[in-house]
Amino acid sequence: MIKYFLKRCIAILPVLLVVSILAFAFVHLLPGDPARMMAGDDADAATIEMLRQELGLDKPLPMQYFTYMGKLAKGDLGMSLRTKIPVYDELRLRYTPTMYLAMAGMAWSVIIGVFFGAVAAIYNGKWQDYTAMLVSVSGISVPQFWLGLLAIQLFSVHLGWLPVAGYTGKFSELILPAFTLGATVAAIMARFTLSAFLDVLDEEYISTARAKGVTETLVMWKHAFRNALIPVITMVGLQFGFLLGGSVVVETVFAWPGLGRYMIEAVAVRDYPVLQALLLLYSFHFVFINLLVDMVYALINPEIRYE
Amino acid sequence: MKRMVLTLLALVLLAAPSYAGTKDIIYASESTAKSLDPHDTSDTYSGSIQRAIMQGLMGFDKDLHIIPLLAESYTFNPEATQFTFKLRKGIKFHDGTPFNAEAVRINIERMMTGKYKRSSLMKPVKELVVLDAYTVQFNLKEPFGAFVNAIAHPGSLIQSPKAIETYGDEVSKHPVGTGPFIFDEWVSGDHVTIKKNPDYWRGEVKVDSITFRPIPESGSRLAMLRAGQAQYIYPMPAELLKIAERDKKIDILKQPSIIARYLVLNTQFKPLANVKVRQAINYALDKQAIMKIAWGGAATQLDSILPPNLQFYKKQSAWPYDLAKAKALMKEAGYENGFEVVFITPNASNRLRATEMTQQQLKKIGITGKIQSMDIASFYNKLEGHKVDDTTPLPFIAFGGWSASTGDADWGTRPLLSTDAFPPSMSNFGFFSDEKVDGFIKAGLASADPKVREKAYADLQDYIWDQAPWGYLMVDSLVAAKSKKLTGIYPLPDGAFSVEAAELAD
Repeated sequence: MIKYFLKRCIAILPVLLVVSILAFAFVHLLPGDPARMMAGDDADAATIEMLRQELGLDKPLPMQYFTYMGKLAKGDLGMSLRTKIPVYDELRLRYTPTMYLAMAGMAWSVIIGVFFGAVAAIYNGKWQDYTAMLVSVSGISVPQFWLGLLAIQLFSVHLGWLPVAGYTGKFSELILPAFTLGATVAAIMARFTLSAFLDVLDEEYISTARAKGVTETLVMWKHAFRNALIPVITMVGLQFGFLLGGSVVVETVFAWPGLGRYMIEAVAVRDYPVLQALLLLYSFHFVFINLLVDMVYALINPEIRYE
Repeated sequence: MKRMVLTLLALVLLAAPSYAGTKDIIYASESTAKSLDPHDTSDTYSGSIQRAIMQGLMGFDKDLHIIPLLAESYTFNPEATQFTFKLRKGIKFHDGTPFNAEAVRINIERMMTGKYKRSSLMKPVKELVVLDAYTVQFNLKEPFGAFVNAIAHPGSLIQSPKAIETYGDEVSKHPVGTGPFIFDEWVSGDHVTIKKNPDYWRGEVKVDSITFRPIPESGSRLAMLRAGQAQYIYPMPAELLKIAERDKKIDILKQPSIIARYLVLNTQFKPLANVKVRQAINYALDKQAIMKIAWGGAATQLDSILPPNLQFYKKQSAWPYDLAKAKALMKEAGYENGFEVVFITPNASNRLRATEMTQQQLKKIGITGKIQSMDIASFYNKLEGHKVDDTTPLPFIAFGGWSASTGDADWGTRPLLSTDAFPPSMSNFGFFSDEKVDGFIKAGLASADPKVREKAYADLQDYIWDQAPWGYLMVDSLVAAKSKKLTGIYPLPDGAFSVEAAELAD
């Protein structure tokens, strides 16, 4: 199993190589000139040309790619064109807030979502089911920025309990963004758990268990729930991957200095090195999380083995 | 479960911010600081923070008039090729280094290397001569009447020579100046904090610290002010003005800017080369409606090629909305049946809305076309990609805007309307070219005597207004909001702000 894990880890490298080529091509295909954007609205041609040379944008594209890859091989992600701060340092600054928010949002939403989903499945067709699904459909349908601003109005402006926005290290600042970010995920988890659960309940081994006289509680929580978890975990991994990319909406509404906002700011001024680094990071997240999910399968279902 | 809720509540209460004691101000803005090196900064927001830390020889007051700061006075020769500044004595940088002619030399020569985004400000300079410890003289390559504006520009702030020596270009993260506030902390992508300079040479600073925090979403920004978690917000979103006005703890600050908005008409395209057609467009535009709907009322009508707060502005008679006259002019020009154009605009919602209104209004005189909206980088890429000798000039009408950051008439006209300014060299995106205009612009730079310059720019404004190189629209109003307890922070016409006189009541 450990051997398999290591093998899979090494297999990530070629994936990242392909991504790096695609990322480089993609960001350079975007219309717009970073030197123009850095120089400011009222810049003259000389300033723009000076910046173009300084940023190395006057060189032919293949040469720029090899310079970039050469540095990347040494672990150097380059400098942000906009702030002239190493991309690595900026990424580190933004990674913690995004990670912190993603974990907090994920933690509550998975617990609540799975619980709601399971309740809806167990009481399938009863009022508990309808209530749980009504809440979760609302959760999916409500736009995040609206939910976020509404929560700010209530908890910060009217009640004055919580900070409106920002990231200065206080726990209270985490509550509203984590709630807003998790709302959608909780709803998705609930829907997903419900359908996975119902699928499992149709299986023959459930009927067998019931026929053997196993109590209904045990059937539900031991036989059904455990098996229903497999697709749910896949979904958790996928959602977590997305959240690690940073939520643009939540980070903007709550002025959270994370990766999502960083991406938007970088796109606006065509900050090539930052965009490339972010695309690489996002791909790494997904590949790595997929691997972790595969590993968790084996823990939950002893029949799954990797050799 | 009950205990968990209680613990959570307790945590929330403990973490709630308290504001007693020190006078700390939170300034919530839309933008994020990009650099703290004035010589290498191109955005107004970073420049404003720098102006609280550092000062130039000259500066601007509330109304964008030039005032002496680190210089006591200046003199110039009639040809506008030599400017001499007498420096103030006894001023020290935050790190203790004395301010003198040597400090000025190191800063100006740093800019003159051509390596920085604001190097262009010192492009006219041939050499800088240190006459004595408190006198410096700039000798220019050619007459440049607007040079004092370049010296007053936020890009020409004077940094501590010791900081430049110690940090090199990393000085962008360690700004040291002579200003009312000392740099404290900058977390890239998040906040900048500055604290009171206890030895400020112009008098006591009344607050302990100011933290500039980017709050990109406008609803959240207003919420911070209303919740008392920020004392000043800019920009105050126009669409939320009604809510803000009802709040008794809030003051709204509104003042005209120097940001002009207009439609760039591609004069290389035959119908738009005809001055009658361009005049027809100006009659056909319902400026009031565009200002009210697209700009939320936060604008005034443009009534000269220059906005009112720019130096040497001269008011012209506004183009009224007159559809009958517009149609008559189109007929006279031989375009009774109209023609087709492309409307190009950045995709910011207010600009897109203004362009949509333009499209509807011009349709009434037969000028029809589709809108191409794009993000700002693509927008520049597109406009700067056109050449004056394109065989089939694209028939475009583009939504343009300009803020002359030097506060001078030259920078409000030359880069936009002179023949030398065709893209890619500068921003004359409509390829407007007129010998008389070029002549006036040159005359405006040939002297540093305000009377001579005023005459040149008055003639220019009188003449060009009827030439209608643009579809004239409006001048942005700057709208900020603040807590009633706060005074002394105000927006400047160029979109920057001043915090020097900030005061916070208990």
